[in-house]
This record gives sequence, structure tokens and C-alpha cells, in this order.
Amino acid sequence: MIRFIVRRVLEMVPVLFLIATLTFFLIRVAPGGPFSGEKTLRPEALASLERHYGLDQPLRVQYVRYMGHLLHGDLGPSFKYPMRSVNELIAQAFPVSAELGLWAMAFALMVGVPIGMVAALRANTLADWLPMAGAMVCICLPSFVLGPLLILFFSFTLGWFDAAGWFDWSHRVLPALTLGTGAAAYFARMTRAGMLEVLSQDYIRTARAKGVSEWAVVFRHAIRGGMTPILSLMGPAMAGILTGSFAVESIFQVPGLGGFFVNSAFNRDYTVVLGTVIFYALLLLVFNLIFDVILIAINPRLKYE
Amino acid sequence: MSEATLPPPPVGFWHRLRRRRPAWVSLWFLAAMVALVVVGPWLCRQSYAANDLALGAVGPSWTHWLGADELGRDLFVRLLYGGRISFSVGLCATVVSLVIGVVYGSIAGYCGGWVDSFLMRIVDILYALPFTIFVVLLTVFFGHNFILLFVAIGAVEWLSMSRIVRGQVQSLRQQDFVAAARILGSSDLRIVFRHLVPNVMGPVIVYATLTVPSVMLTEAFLSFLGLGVQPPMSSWGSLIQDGAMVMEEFPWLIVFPSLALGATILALNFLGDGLRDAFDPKESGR
Repeated sequence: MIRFIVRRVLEMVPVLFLIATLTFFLIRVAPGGPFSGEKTLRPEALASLERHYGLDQPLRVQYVRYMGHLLHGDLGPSFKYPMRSVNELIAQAFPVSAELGLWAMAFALMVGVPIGMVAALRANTLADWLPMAGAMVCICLPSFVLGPLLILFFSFTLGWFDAAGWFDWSHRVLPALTLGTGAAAYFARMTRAGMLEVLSQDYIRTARAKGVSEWAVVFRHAIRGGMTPILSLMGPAMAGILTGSFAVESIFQVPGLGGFFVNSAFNRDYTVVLGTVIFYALLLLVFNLIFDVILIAINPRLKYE
Repeated sequence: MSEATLPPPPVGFWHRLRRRRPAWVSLWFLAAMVALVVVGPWLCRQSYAANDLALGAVGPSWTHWLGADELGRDLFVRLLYGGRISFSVGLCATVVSLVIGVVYGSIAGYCGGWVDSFLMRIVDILYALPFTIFVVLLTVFFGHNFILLFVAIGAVEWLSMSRIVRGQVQSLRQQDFVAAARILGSSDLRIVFRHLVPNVMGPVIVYATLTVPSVMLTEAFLSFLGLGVQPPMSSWGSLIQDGAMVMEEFPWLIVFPSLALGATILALNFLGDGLRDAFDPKESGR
């Protein structure tokens, strides 16, 4: 297990290096620059700004310098937020996104998994196909459709929750719901499929034959095997919540990293974009590793693949 | 095992598809939608960009079936034009992903050995990457180039396709007809593209049907963020964004585009599920 983890961590290094390199050159070959929007800037001022940030150097010099800083975990200064470093900006915006993502994930698990289990236990009845049809609809409703509709209903019509900002619990409900619904629907479908598969196995029949109560069959014997599809889906689900947050954070005006990333891309704030991409990539790689480790811990057979 | 990978005879296929009500209804719904989107704009006298500022935003009526936006532009006409964008992005990007995925997957599956493990390791690694981020970056930095949008989305969606094709090719290449082709002197290239690829088309078509909605969602997502098509052109994503801004006053501006997008995606998913069941009778009846 230790060897597996070490190997995977070592594999991350070239992947991150590749992402950083690719993104670095991708945003540099694109037309426009961080200061091109400010037309009032005098040429001398522009030159001194570029000199200050090292933008007057050849691209490969900038690249080597950036990579050197990156090795020390330094993502450089922001061009658009003077006197702020990218590290500071991420440290400020990410906790908001993380909290939102956590609520969304909690909602998805607490709603999706039980629904999927009930559907599997009542397979091919109304309690199965009604929630499953609902899940299908939810998968087809992207967050940027669901979000405005939720605002329209819960905020404008009923007045239950606040629609914009990020202050107290009332601001958390709708964004988390919007972000989590798609994942909840996927979880419900996967749980149902996983549980159906497991419930038809011999060891479940054995357990039932021994006279184990239905409750214990489900929660002690079946749930372990039935949860593996969920765990293998957690990585992609995290990625979905991450990118989903771009739209959700802009709909609900949440001051998180997702909306921040999109804005910075529009503003050509090179270092912020680059830093955010590297940060997101690292986050996803680490999450994938964690879920793979959990998967192996639950199902030792996977170790030999 | 081996029989399941071969496409079943066509008559049985249509028969089985017709028996899946949701898929059959979805097929007709989509056909009607495509026809409307292709033909509709020619029949309408209004342009998607025609303003009528005196009219302003009005609700659904006889002259404007789905209402009009703040600039007095007819929503129905804009939906039709937007549908053109959404469907064409969906189709083109799916074709891009299909071509890359089939070529890549069949090479990996046919060669086997270290080539296979190398190619598939790359796919594994790419799976872990936040690709939507790259699509966002590409569209921000290289302008709102339409071709680029297709390529960028297609390049993201090919990963699963390559895995499916690889698995199919791997099981097919053991079969007698491949050995026979080799004995007759066919080159590897010919074996792959004349003998193997046509045999994996069943699962590929099924998966492609499921790729179309996910591509359309990506396009709508980009347009929603303001990165897709630019005004006065419309796409379903950009209409939803415009509608979201004014939904308190003019709710129809968000409800109808959302309905169009949602219903289409739903139909495509039902159709994909139905096709899967129809292609692979073993899977059905669950």
C-alpha cells in the first residue's frame, strides 16, 4: 500500500509539471496581455510595469524563473490586484469554495445514496422508477439552469432564502443545492446499480438463508460492495463540483475561487490563472489518490490489478 | 461474450428500439426538434437580431409565441437559431471525439503489449485532469472561434470513447475472421480499419449518442459564462444567461430556453439508453 501511494505521488510530479508548462505557454501565445485593456496607460508607464513584473524578458527566461518559484511553492504576484500574491488570493478565496463544495457533496451523499438504496430494494416498483426518472431529469438540468430556477422559486416567490452573497446559512442553501443536485442524481443511479449487483450475489443469499434480518443484510453485508461504485465516482464528482462552481459562484455571487478564476481569465491575469489551474490540478490529483486508496482498503482484490 | 460484441441484425434492432417507449418517443421528439431548428429560421420572417424597442419585453402572445426580450427580439426565433448552434456544436464535437477515440482506442486494443499499456496510462492520467478548465482557458484566450469550440470540446470527450473501443477491439482481435484476414495478407492498418472498426460501431454509436448531450451541456455552460457564441447571435446557453439576468420581471425568458435545453438533453439520454438496450439484448430486461 505504501509503495502504491509513493508511486502515485511520484507520478503526480510530471503531470503537474506538464500542466504548468502547457498552461504557461497557452496563455502567453494568446493575443492580449494583462495591461492591454488599460488604454490610458502611457508607453513609459507600461514599459516600467512590464519591467517590474519581468514581462520584458524573453519568454523562456520568464518560464524558467516561474518554474523556479513554483518549486518553492511561490505562485508569484498578481497583475491585477497590486501588492497581492497569488498564494494570498487563493488562500482567501478557496475556503469559501471548499465550504460550498463540502455542503454540496454532503447534500449529494445524504440524498443520493439513500434514494438509490431504496430504489434497489424496491426494484421495478413505483418506488424505484419514480425517483430514477427524477434523477434522470436532474442529471439533464445543468447547474446554470437549476440555479436561476431555484432563485425564482425559493427566493423571489417564497422568500425563504437569500439569493446572492455569502454571509450566513441562508446564503448557503441554494448554491449548495444547485451544485449538489447533479451529483446526488448520479449517486442515486450508481448506488442503485451497485446495490442491485451485490444483492444478487451468493453471499447475500447465504446470509438470508442463515436467517440474518433484512436490515443486517442491507447494512452489514450488502452496503460495502454496493458502495464501491460511489467511491470510484467520487473523483469525477469532485471534478464536476469544482468546475460546476464556476457557474454557481457567478449565479449566486459567491466570492469563491471558481468565479475568481473565470474573471482572471477574462482579465488576462496570467499568474492568477496559472496558479489557479495548478492548484485545481493538484487538488484533483490528491483527491483521486485518496479515493483510490479508500477503494483498495475496502476491496483488497483491487490490489492485485 | 463474443456474440454480444457483434451488431445484431438490423430488423431485430429497430423492433427492439421501438419497444422501448421512452427511447422511441425521444427519437421522434429529436427528429421534430432538428427539423424545426433546420427549417424554422427560413420560414420565420423575423431575424434573430431584429429589435423592436417600442415593443420591449412582452409575454407569450399570438404574434410572439414565446414572448420577446427587452429589446423586443422574438424569443421563438432566437430559440430556433440557438438550437442550430447547440445541435451543430453537439454533432461536430461528437464527431471529433468519435474520430480521435476510435483511432486511439483501436490502435491501443489491436497492438496490445507495451503500446497498449502506455496509451491507456496516458488516458488514465488525462482523466484526472480538470479539462473544463482548459476549455474555458482556450475559449477565453483564443477568442470566440467556432471551430476551436468544436475541437476543444471534442478533444475533451474522446477519453471514454477510446476506452470502450479498446475493450471491444481487444476481444475482437482474437477471433477467427481477424486471423483469416491476416492469412489472406491484409496489413495491420487494413485489419484495424476494415475489419475491426466496423464491428465496434454498435457500442460506439451508443456512446456517441450519450456524448452529444454532454457536449451540448458544455457548450451551454461556456455560453452561459459568456465564452461561447457572442450577441446578437444566440445559443441556448446564452439565452439562459440573458434570461437569468431578468428572470424576476420576465420569467418566460429563462423558462423556455431552459425547457428547450432540458428536454433535448433528456431525450438524447433516453435515446442513448434505449439504443444500448437495443444493441445489446443481454443488457436489457433488467
